[in-house]
This record gives sequence, C-alpha cells and structure tokens, in this order.
Amino acid sequence: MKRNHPFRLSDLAINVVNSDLEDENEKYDLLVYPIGYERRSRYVAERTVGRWQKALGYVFPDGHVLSFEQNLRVSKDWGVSEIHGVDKLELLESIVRALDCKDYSSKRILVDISSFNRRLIASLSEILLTEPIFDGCDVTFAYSLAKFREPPKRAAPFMDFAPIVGLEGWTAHPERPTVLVVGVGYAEDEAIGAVEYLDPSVTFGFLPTGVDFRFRLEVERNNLALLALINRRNVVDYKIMFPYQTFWELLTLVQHLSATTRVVLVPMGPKIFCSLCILVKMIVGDEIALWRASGHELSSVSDVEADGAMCGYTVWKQNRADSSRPGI
Amino acid sequence: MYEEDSIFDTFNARHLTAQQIAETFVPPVGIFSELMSVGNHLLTGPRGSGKTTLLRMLTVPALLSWQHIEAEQFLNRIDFVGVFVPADRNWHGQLKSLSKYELDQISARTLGEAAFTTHILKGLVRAFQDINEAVIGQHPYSIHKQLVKLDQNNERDLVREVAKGWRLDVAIPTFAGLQSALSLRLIDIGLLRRSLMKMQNVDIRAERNDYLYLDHRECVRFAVELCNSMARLPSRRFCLMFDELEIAPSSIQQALLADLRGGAEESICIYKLALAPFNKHFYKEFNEVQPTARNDYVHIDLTYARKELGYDFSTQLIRSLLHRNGLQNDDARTLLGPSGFDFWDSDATVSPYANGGNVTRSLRSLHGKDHSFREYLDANHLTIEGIGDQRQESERAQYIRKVRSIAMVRDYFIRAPRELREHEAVRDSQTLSAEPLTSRSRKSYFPFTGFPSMLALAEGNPRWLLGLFRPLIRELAVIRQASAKGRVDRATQAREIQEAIKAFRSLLRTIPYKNDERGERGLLKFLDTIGTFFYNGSVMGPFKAQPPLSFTVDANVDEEVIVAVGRALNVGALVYVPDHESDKMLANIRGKRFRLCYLLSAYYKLPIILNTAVSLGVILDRSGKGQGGGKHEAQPSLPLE
Repeated sequence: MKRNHPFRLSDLAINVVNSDLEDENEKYDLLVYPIGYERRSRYVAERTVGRWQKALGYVFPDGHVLSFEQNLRVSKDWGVSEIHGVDKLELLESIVRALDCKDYSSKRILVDISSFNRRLIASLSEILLTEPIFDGCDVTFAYSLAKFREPPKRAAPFMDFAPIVGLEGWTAHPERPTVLVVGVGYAEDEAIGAVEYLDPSVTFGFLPTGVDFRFRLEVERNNLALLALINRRNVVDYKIMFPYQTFWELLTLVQHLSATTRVVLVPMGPKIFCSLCILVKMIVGDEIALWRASGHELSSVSDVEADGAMCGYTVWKQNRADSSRPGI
Repeated sequence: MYEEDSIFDTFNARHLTAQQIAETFVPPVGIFSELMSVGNHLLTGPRGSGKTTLLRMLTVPALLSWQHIEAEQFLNRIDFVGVFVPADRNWHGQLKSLSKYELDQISARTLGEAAFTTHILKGLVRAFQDINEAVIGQHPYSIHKQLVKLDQNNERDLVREVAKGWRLDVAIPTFAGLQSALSLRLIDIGLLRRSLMKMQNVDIRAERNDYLYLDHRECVRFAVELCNSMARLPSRRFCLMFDELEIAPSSIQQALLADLRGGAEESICIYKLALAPFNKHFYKEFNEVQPTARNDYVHIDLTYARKELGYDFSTQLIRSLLHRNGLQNDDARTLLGPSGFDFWDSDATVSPYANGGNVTRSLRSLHGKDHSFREYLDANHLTIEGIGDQRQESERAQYIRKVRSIAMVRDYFIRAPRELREHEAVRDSQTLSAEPLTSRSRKSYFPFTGFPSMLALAEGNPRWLLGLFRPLIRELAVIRQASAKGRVDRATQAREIQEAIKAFRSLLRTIPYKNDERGERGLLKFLDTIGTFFYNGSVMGPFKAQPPLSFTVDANVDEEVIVAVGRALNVGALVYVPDHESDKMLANIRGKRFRLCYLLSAYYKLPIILNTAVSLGVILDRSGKGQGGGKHEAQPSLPLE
C-alpha cells in the first residue's frame, strides 16, 4: 500500500490512500457494518466474506422492513455480533470487545458506511480515528454504489437541518463570513435548501459522478436551481470511485477557505463524500462545522440494491509510541 | 443595495469589504437617512432586503469610501461611530448546540452568553481600529469630528486599561493585540465547552473563569468612556448595530430591548437592531420588555406592502446598475418598455382608456367572452361602448379603475370555446376555459413584464432586483451596440421571471411545514393552497369586481399555521400588510393581514394588487374540503407543476 501525504489529526499523524476492496490479499481483523432495510447494507460484507475475521453488525432500532429480516438472517449465519445502542461509549465498547486482543495497534478495521446514517458515520469515525486505543490501526471506510433508480419525485422539506452533534465546530472568529461547501445529491432541489437556510456568502458545490452515468444526469437535472445560483467556477466534479482524490480536493479547498471564512460542510449525496467531510473536519478542526439535513421518513424508504462497484479509502494512523513508521 | 460582478455568486453583504459595499450602495429613499439619525432603530425585512448592507454602510470605512452623489449630505449628518455585530445561523448552530449536550443548563447559557459578549467586544475594538485607520479626505464632514485618532501612547494606555476591565491578557498593547486576545478568549470558551461535553470535572465557576460573567453593556460602556476620554470627546456616541439579532442569546436580546427603553438622547451607546420580519421567540421577549415605538425606538420596515412605495428605490438601483454597465442614457423604463398594467404612464401616446388603449382593449375582449363580466357592467349601468368615451370619466373612476387589473388578467387567461362567434358572450361561466394553473408557458408571464410591473415583482428587495435585472441589463447592453433605441423584449423579460420563480419555488420547497390534520408537508404546499384559492376566485369563477387577494390570519388558527406564515414572511414569500403605519412592528401574526409576494402572484396568474382580504381559515377549510372557492372547483387545480 502506498503511504504518503501525512496529516495531523489532533496529535496524531495519518495517511489517506485509496483502497482496493476487490484485492483478495486485503484482510481485515474486524468488519463493522449496518444491518438495515436495504439489500445493499450487507453487500460489502458478502463481497469481503472470508477476508474479515470478525464482524460487528449495527441493528437499527427502527426500519425493520424490506430486506431487514433477510439481512439479519444472513448476519446470524455469519455469526456476526450485534450492536443496538447509538451511544458512543457503547459503540466503542462493542468494537473493543469484538476485537478482543491485548494490542489494538496494527489492527485492520473495515467499516461499510453505505447504509449507515450520517450521524453514525460521524460517531464511528470519531471513535476509530481519535480514540487512543486505536492508534496504529488502519481504518478502511468502504462504500458500495447503488443500482440506479429514479430519484424521489420531490425533495422532502428539511424537517431538521442542524449541525451533527459533536461536529458543530466552535469558531474564534464569528465575524467572518460563512462559506458553504455542499455535497450535491440527486434528489430534486435538496441542496438548495441548505443554501436558503444558511444564507452563505459563497457556495461551493461538489457534484458526484459514479459508474452509472444516469445518476450524474439526474444530479444535474435536479439541481438546476442550485447550479443557476452558484458560480460555475465554484462547482467541483468528483468521482465517487476515487475518494483519495476527492479528499485532497476537499481538504485543499477547506484549508484555503478556513483562513478567512467559517466553512460549513453539508454532505448530501453519496455517503462516501459524507465520510470524507467528517475526516476533513477532524483534520482542519473547530473552525469547520458539519451539518446534515433530515427530511425523510420511513414511509419513503426503498430497498436500494448494490450496483456491484465498491470504493473506499484507508486512514492509516501512527501509533503514538511508534515514531519509526514512514510518512510521519 | 449592492451590485456584484457575478450575479448569483454572492448572496449577502457579510463578506464584502467596506469599500466594495460603498462602491455599489444605493440609499433606499427615506430609509438610510432615518437610520443615520441619532436614535435607536429596529430594522426588519426578509432575506435579501438589505439589512446587512444598511448596517455595514454605517461603519466608518464604508462611509468614508462612499462616493455617491448624496454622500456629502449624509456624511455631514452622521453623529456616531458604527459598531457592526454580525451573526448568522452557522454560529447560531454552534451556540445552540451547547444545550444539546448533557451540560447543566446554567453552564450552557453562561458559555453562550460569554461567547456572544466576546463577539460584541470584538466589534467594538474593530470600531476603535476603524477610527485610527480612517483616511480622512479634505472635506470637513461632520463625521470627521468623531474620528479623533489616538497616538501610540494613548492606544497602549487604552488597551491596557480595557484589557484589565475585560479580564484579558494582552501580549501586545495595541488594538490588534486586543482583537487577538478576544479571539483567544473564544478559543478558551470552546475548550471549556469541550471539557464539559466530555463530562470532565470542570467547574466553570472557578475564579480563573470569572470573565464568563462579564456583562456586555458594562464592558462596552467602560471601554467607550475610556476611549472618549482619551480622545477628548466625552459625549461621542457609539452605535451598536446587531445583524440578525434573533440569533443572539435571549438574555442579550432582553438586555438590548431593555436598553432601548431608556431612549437615545443622553446615552453614549445607541442601537440599530436588524431582525427578520417574524421570530416568535424574539417577539415574546419584545412583548415582555415593551419598548415604545417612537419614544424608545423607530421601526424601519424594508418591505413594501404597497408596491408603489418601492418603485423609487428599485428605479434608482436599476439606474445604478445600468450606469455601471455603461448604459448612461437608460433607465428602468427604457430597459423594460411599458407594462400592460401601467395605467399612469403620462408618456403613453394612447390613453389606456381611449379606444385602442390597453385597458379598453382588454375590457372589450372580456366583455365579448364572459357573460359574468357583462352582468357586472349591466348591474353598474355601464356599457362597453362607453368605456372609451372620455365623457364617462366619472363612471370609469368609480367602476372601471376598480376592476381593470382583475379584468385584464382574466381576459388574458380565459378563453371562450372556439365554436362561439366573436362577441357572443358565454352565458354559463362553467363553459369558459381558464388557463389551468398547471400550464406554465413563458407566455403566462407576459402580463407581468414591462415597467413598472417587473419592479413590483422584485418587491424593492435588492437581492431579487439583482437576480431579475442583471441578465436584462446585459441583454440591453448587447442591443445598444446596434441601436440607441429598442428595449429588452417581453419574451426575454418573461424568461427571467420564469427563472426567478423557479429558483424561488425550489427554495420554498425545502422549508418545512407540517399540518398533521391535512398531512401536508412543505411551506410551498401551504403557499400553493393560498395561491390556488385566489386564482379560483379571481380568474376561474364568475367575474367578481374585488375578489380577495390577501388574507387575515384568524385568531384560532393552530400553531403550525402561525409557524408557516412566519417562515413565509421571513423568506419574503408573504408580505405583511399593516392597517396603520404605526402598526408595522409585527409582534403577533394572529389578526394581521398578509399578501402573497408578487413574484408568486405572477406564478399563480394573479393581478399584482392588494384587493380585499379573506380569512386564512376559510382558505384552508375550503382547500381541505376540496373546494376552490369558485364554480370551477371540479377542474383540477393541484398539483401546480
């Protein structure tokens, strides 16, 4: 694995690299994945079965519909340990218990974020990237792309648009203008709601391209109002399959902007972008805020299937006791 | 109130430099002059109405950079130093998040107040810096008397004393050093917050944290008095200008409102407070403290319930845009050409009421196809033949002027069946075919093009004016390269209206509103219900001289509806129509009258007039029962797109 470009994350040096999830030689000590209502939620687990030693399945307290029962059955067949609570301490304890070893450094942990909600992605990232017990671990965030389906007819209004708890940031410069960096999804006019609410001085839009070009067409078609509103030079195209490159683009932009403004990240669209936003927020620090919109109810859920393509990135963390590893 | 090189790239004035704001600032008629006077002001307006720009224009660097033709007279009147205190929802999210953790409520409130107090003090130090950095020209404006610079020694002494009072450690005794120390204090407050979040054993009441309990008013007065004393200007006033005040912690809101009660006469601190048109939490505080309009403060509303009041400012802003684009000989009229609704155009070659005039043409056409309109004329002893007759001036004044806008819109959007001969009016209004609201051709917006109708659509809102007019001005610049005459055609104007509506509706769609009883979601649906009701009453049903085009909020509507109306007001989708000038401060929505903004009126194919009001309860009840208010309710009127 190529290791370069270290960053400081609190007092820790890290590297970020693209992951090849198809590589049969890549083995993991632990898989953390959601047991949800989408068929997609077990896809990464299925594709990597035999390459992870243990698995921890997060069972959502509600949404036991569509493919949930089947996902749960399969997880039981695999002997997956279940987590039910959303409390960070519970999550941490469950992961520590599942790994069950004396030395956690050098462990390799795979987290499938495809069907997790944004709050849980944030909690898991914070635990795995900042808890000292996992210093020295490699954490791979994996994402399986969805099969194309028509976007919902109308974007649900934001019932709750607020900072993700723990990632709201804290500024020493409230007088500086707010700049919005929004990850654009394919639901109609969803991103423009963030613009309306936050009323930023400048908006940057990150537009995804996956393997199925129909998604991209829908992204553009359903965000015409947003695209008319923001300057074309503030639109950044990113490829879902190359999170490392997206990470760099996002980090460079945010670091540049945060010198003179207060940046708000609003990751709509693919969860891999949300995961990258969380990582960037952790690296850049308290001047950055991360918000999420929630307007969806269980009545509007659908059984999303995986397309077959997977992508991911690995955060490689230096063990605090070990200063000999390269890239530090 | 400002122009941008790139139309939609920038949404607000917060990030612009003072010089950039001053370069493009157009003072709204009467408003800027009032705001400059020594006194407390409450400034209200929806998004984009220019509150931030107005406040920032009162800061020293902006005033000194202002080159407007009227700048001199303003600069000679100003008698205070502006202190700008910005706020936004991003920061509000951070302050509010304190209460989401398992902190005790007193700690959460203390940290929030301390952060905001520090922010106010940063604004004040910025104003001290503004004075010391002011580049004063040769003209002896009265504002210059306020700008006595402190030499290095005085600055050092002032900073040391202020730092002592504010419990700050200042490494370098300069204003910049003081700013830096205040930023560090915000970082300290952030650290305390983090420690408390992690449930570490932190006692925020420890002696080293006594800065958390500083009172912003005492701190400001202490520093202002010291600064004034060193400048030998003991009565110099500092004006604290709070943008988006509803975002401030409620204890600070209360303190500021209480300060308003003292009036501004003797105080060295005066206030200009900018707010959204409605915020129920703020107005609860407001009602409790009860400052008195005129005695304690002057209220300035940046909305124009009656459209004509906004025309002067809109015309000036458009002229400024035209000039900046090298179109010195043009104005809003030459840009847009006449509107079908321009009944007062003294330059018109044909009177709208003369034979061949636009009003007469429409009325005749409507008479030819709409029996209910004929009945109206008959009932009022009017004849269609007499409409173009100058001798019937008095009748026109009484009847025709009252109905002309309704009749013209109705004529435009309804069709008689093709098999009927010309001039054979349809007896049964149900056989008339009104253009359904679902039809959204660009032509639907033609009636709303031209001067001054397009100005009415922008509501005097600078952001909307820029959005609508910048593309048209670019188009005119191209036309002028070929010809000194000509204007932007109606199709292009209609296209811009269509685009503006599309963008605005997209924004409205994402604003939540949920009425459990009806299961509706989204503010847009709420507004669509109102718009459809008005359309059915004015266009689809039988002719009425004064169908309702505004509504009054009933005393007994549920809280969800109040929230929806409040949100629609704050985003500019609804406009408050006060009955009396003194009633402009909207402290309670119930019992008050509102209209749709005219941009949405164009979408719902409604005339852009106020007309009569109907109860909101009636609108919601009828739509709940599937009734539209006219005989045509059988026709589908929703969904609108």
